[in-house]
This record gives sequence, C-alpha cells and structure tokens, in this order.
Amino acid sequence: MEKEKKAEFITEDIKNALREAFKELKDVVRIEVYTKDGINDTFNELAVALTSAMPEISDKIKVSYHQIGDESSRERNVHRSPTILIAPDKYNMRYTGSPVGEEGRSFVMGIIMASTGKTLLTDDSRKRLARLQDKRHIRVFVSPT
Amino acid sequence: MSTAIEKKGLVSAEVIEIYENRDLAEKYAAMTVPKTFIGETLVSSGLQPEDYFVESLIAGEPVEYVRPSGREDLREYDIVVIGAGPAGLTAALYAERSGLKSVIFEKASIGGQIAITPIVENYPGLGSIAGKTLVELMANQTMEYSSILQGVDVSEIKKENGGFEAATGRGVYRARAIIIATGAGSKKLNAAGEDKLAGRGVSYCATCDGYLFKDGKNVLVIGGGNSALTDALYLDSLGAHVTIVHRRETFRAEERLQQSVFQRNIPVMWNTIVKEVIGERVVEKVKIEDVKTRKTNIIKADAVFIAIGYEPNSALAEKLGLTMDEEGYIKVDGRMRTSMPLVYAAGDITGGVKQIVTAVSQGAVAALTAFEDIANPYWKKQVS
Repeated sequence: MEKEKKAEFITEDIKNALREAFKELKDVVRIEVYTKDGINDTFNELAVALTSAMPEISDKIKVSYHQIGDESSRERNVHRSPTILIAPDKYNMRYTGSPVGEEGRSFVMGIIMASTGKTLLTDDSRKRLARLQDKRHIRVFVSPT
Repeated sequence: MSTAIEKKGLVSAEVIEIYENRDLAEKYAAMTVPKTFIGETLVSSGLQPEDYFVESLIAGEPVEYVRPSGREDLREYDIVVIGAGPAGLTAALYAERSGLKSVIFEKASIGGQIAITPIVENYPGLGSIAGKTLVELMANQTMEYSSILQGVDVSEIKKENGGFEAATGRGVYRARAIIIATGAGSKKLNAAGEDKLAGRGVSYCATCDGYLFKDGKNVLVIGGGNSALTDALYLDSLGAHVTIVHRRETFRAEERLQQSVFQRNIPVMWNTIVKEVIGERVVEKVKIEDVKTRKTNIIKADAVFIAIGYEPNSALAEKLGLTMDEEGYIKVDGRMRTSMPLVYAAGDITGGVKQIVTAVSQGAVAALTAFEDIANPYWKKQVS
C-alpha cells in the first residue's frame, strides 16, 4: 500500500521542499505512526505516505508503523487513528490526525526542532518559561485550511 | 511544540485535526479553529503572541495581560494604536521607524479579519499565503519595534493637557496622537441560540469552518449578498448540502455569483428569516419564519453560516465624538485624519473596500501623517 500511496500524495515538489528543510537535521529522530483500518482510512494513508517518504530523503529520520491496540500503542497511550508521535523516547509531541495542508509545515518544523533541540522561542519567552514547575498538556485544535 | 522541547518532561503537546476527530472537536467546542487548551482550559481562540501563550502555559489559564519586556510600566507614548489588525500593526511599525514611541492595544486576537482568512491570494509579492502565516509575519515584524498589549480593552479616549488619555483595563496611558484601527466585525443575526452555539456549528466564516461539514452535511447560509453567495458556492464545492436562507425575494449579490448559484441548483428559501438556532451541544435544527405568511418551520441543519455583512467597531470613535458616515464608519481625509486633530483612523473602520493591502497602506499613511502633524500642527496654522 505504502509505495502506491506515496506516488499519489508525495509529489516531487514536496520531496524537494523536505530535502531542503531536512538539511538542518542533526540527531536521528524516531517517528511512530499508529493507524487502525476502517477509521479515517484516507488520512491513515496520508500519514503513511508522508512519513514513509521521509527516511528516503534523510537517513536521520526513522519511522515505524503500528496498529492501534498493539503493545506499543498501549505503552504510548495512543487510541486514535491516525496518530503520529515525534521522537517519543525523548519528547511528548503528537499529531492526532494527519498533518495535511497548513499543518504539514508545523509537523516538519517539529521534526527539525526535535532533531536539533533548537526551538523557535525568543530569549524572552525562554526566560519566562523557566518559571514553569508543573506538568502541562497543550491541545491545539486545527484544520487543514 | 517549542515548549514541549524546552520543557521536556513537563510539557506535552498535541495537535488535533478536527475533521478526523470530530467527537473531540465537539467535546471541546473547537469547531472553529485554531483553539488552544492547557489541560481542559481554553486559553486562546485564534493566534496568540508567544509571550501570552507562555504566560498562559505557566498559569494554566488565559492571561489578560503580559508586561512587555523592556518597557515595563511605561505610560507615556507618542502614539497609541488601537487594534492589532494589518492597519494597526503597520501604523505602529511606521510610527516607531519615524522615531515615535508606540504601543498597540488589542482586546481580542492579533490579526483581525486576516487571522480567520484561510488563504490570502491578493497580497502583492506573496503569491498564496495562509492568513495566519501572514499575521505572524506582520506581527513579528512590528514586535521588533513596538509592543502589543493583547487582551487589553481601551474603554475611552479623552483629550487632556494637549494630548490624549486612553483609559484601559490596565490604567491610563497618555499619548500625543491616537490611531484608531478597530476594524469591522461580522454582523450577527441576533437570533435565539446564536451566541450559545457560536463555534458549535454557528459560524461567521465559511472558509475557516466549512471543512468540517464537507461530506454531505446540511448547512444553511444566511444572507443574499456577495459574501453569502460566495460562501454557499464554496460549501457546495466542498460537498456540503447547502441551502441559502434569504429574507428578501431577490439577491443583491452580483449577477455572476447568482448565475453560479442557480446553475448548481443550490436551493434558496426566499423571504425567510432565522428565528432560532437549536441544539444541545452543537447545531441540530433551525427555526425559520416566512416573512410574508409568518409561518414558522423547523428544519434540520448541522451548521449555520451567517454572511449578512459587516459592522464597524465604532464604539470608541463615537464616544470620542468623531464624525462618522451614514453606515457608522469613521470619516477620514486622504491623509487618514479624522475630524479631530491628532486622531487618525486606518483599515476597515474607515469603510471602503476592506482589503489587507489598503489597510496596511492606510496604517502607514496614518503614522506618517501623525509624525508630520506632531512636528507641524496644521490646525494651529489654520487658526493663526
């Protein structure tokens, strides 16, 4: 399935843009993709197509695929299809849904930040953030448009 | 994502696509995006400056006000700008680059109408760009020079001691000149249930929120002008089942749009108004009334898109006693001067074509005119 879908969704333009963006990668980033057949199938395919193109473009990206309900999904507390985790052994960042449209840009940025450890925060924000002592879960609701 | 990396172990970040997770979107009333929650608490609808987001993250709840770094407690400015849409952001940028100290007050979201525009395709030089991306670019550029105080409402402006005093929720700020860029908002229907179900199927922006209803959902578009018909065509092209509800028996939209609507056989309920939007958590039904027979009817609907025009956010200008036009927009001359010396207006609040490119242009003109007028008061010359 992956190969056919890749050809359909990931155009040469997208690959070139990813190639350019991934020049910045430093450390290896592991990506885990979780899907369940019958739920959001089109978006499962998009998530697989997007992520399976990435290791071909950069050897610093390693992707693994899992089924919702398997051991890994239980360990990672993943229940929704599709879900993509970025560097889950190091950080707690996830896309609940497929990062299509405008969200593709922030997904790629998330991978780059996870690889380099450098973020987009200003020095001022970083100083403010130093005051945070408690656990926080951020949810951002988005749409492709 | 940045904060989840900077504070790994403490911060987890989740981006949720609403179309694929409609149940979550409904649970969190996040059918209008973007919406940001910390835990279960909504901290922002729309874009938020980074310092506000970080302070919200620390507090675990929305914050009203963040002290700008470097200008703590500064109360006197050359120019106070009200509104952080494209006009206000550009006005502050030009003011600062002219050597005038400025501050922007924004009571709601930075970016104004552009922040809810999915794609901007008529801003010269940028081709096609997401509205929120354009807002980020503009706001970041302005914040290199000026400060934006978000969540701070200016309740009144008074002429005092040869200048102005702006009364805000954070005290009084003094300025030599004022630029009003408060924009225009979507008109409401004022139907029962409209406010309760806003963001839960009631929407004022089809291009922002239509995607959720693309697969054969029943949507009503209310209105008969260009915006309403454009919205109806957009929603129809997405695959929604669209019905237009219009209070008159003819459209006032341009002919070309009307032809497209008729060609696509989009049903129209003429002479009909919406009396009530009904639903527990989300829109389920709509009560409509035939204005001729006064007969009411309840129809099923998943969403109601309201496109009955704009109204100027003019309360502040009215209080100040500025001259307005018959539609309630501030009257300005070619230099963006209002009827009161050293008070300028820019952007949608001045009426006209309401484009981003004209808003930024007017913001620049207002700031440069203010710079000129502060140095050479034209009204004093006229008197002498």
